[in-house]
Amino acid sequence: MSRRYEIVYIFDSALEEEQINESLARFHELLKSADTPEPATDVNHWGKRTLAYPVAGKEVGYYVVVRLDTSPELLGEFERALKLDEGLLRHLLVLNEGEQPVAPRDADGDGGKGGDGGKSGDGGKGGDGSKGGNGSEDRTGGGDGKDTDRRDS
Amino acid sequence: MRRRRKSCPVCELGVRVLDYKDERTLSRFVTERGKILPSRLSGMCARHQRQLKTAVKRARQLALLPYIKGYAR
Repeated sequence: MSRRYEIVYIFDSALEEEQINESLARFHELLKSADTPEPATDVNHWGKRTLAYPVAGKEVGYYVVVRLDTSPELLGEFERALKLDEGLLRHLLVLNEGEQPVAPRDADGDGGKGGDGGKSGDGGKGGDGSKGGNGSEDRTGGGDGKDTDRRDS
Repeated sequence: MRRRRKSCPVCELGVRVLDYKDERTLSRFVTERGKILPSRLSGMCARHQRQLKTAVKRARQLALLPYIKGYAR
């Protein structure tokens, strides 16, 4: 059974965009299966941002937010590959189910809490994740369903 | 005399879920040192305070918010 996740990658800002796209393609290859031929549903490049504190000696990181559709069994190997990658400073993988969206934010880092897409986004979609088997996961954020989804904004 | 309860600032925004990626909104609810503001001060409702907790902690992991603000690098 496939589930929906959201992952934020922080790459070394010294990398070229091509290299980053290459890495992303390589990572997402690991998540492919019969159920989910196309695991990455929505790739959103935020671009370079100043980190709130230095990570691995770097002050700037390249952020990429990706929505994933994949089955949980594949994630172990996937995360292992992430940890081995030198160009990836950090990542955060969370379940993205249950109550959805609000505050969209723009790729360039401003726009913050734009009330625009927000109001229309909530309410309507609340049911889709159904918060079913929350207990069965050991992923970070164990299915509290708070992760926002900006698909319909 | 009891003071009237402040209304929840997040509910007033018309937002149902707090997003850990939206550090602008989150930064309104941390102190100048980067601590999470108690709901006693912000008037946040319990549901949103719980969401805030997770969201701020995630944002910290992603270096969107500092663990300690103003700490010398």
